[in-house]
Amino acid sequence: MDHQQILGDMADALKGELGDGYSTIKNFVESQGKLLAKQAEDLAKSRLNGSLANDDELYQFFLEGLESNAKNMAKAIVMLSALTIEKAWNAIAGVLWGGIRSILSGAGVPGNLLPQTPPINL
Amino acid sequence: MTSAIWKRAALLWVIVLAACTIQLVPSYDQALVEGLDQANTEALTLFAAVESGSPASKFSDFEEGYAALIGKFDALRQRASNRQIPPLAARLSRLSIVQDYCNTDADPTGCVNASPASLERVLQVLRRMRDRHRSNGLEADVVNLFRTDYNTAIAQALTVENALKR
Repeated sequence: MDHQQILGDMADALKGELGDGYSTIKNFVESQGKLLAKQAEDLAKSRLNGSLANDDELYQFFLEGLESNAKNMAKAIVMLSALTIEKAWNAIAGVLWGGIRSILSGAGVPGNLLPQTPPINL
Repeated sequence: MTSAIWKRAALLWVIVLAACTIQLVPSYDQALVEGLDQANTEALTLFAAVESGSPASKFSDFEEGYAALIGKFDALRQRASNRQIPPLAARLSRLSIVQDYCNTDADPTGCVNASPASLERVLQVLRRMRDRHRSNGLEADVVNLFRTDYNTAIAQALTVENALKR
């Protein structure tokens, strides 16, 4: 295994993980955007011509719900992004460790000193 | 000479970094995901039962159902809230930029464990709907508003928890 192959494998691993992560986050943002828009639209309708026309307290509750759901959506996006970074890092580390392992084995380092996967988990 | 030292130091760093995997968000919890799926089905069944509206006089028919559902979601919120946060994620959560944006006193790890906040909103919706049903009854448009609010919050928890399955 040479360094070109290791770099190529690392790029493939990174591309795969980032692509999956982007797709998950994109779908989540789209579906949450639609739900929040529906929430706002239904709230406006009920306030104008529906049961909330004379109910300030319940109207306030749903307004706070919109704010709370938007904030929680942002937190979920940060968490999904952290998960994507974690997966991308671990994929690269796995490929790099595999490359180092095969180079060191080839140089005569005993196999029992070189675990299959990266040995340190932070 | 200096260049050789730099090359060796760089090589050492590459080996050290390659030896490290990281965990930035909690582990997948199958029991939590299954519990959320089951409670979600029960909640959607409740919404379906009252979607055309339900008078306060019918509240007693639903009282036990509300209690069971609220208890179930509260237990799931507790489970999500009390799970172990990976050490690296806990350290990141203490950075001031993260604290300003993500955290509150009640939720000190908001961006590395997002589900408890979403489940808290689910609980607020169900409790408010129960109280409204008991005092005034539920009109169809109000049920629709509760359901959309609920749908947004539960979708956050379900998406995040399922994504944790690495």
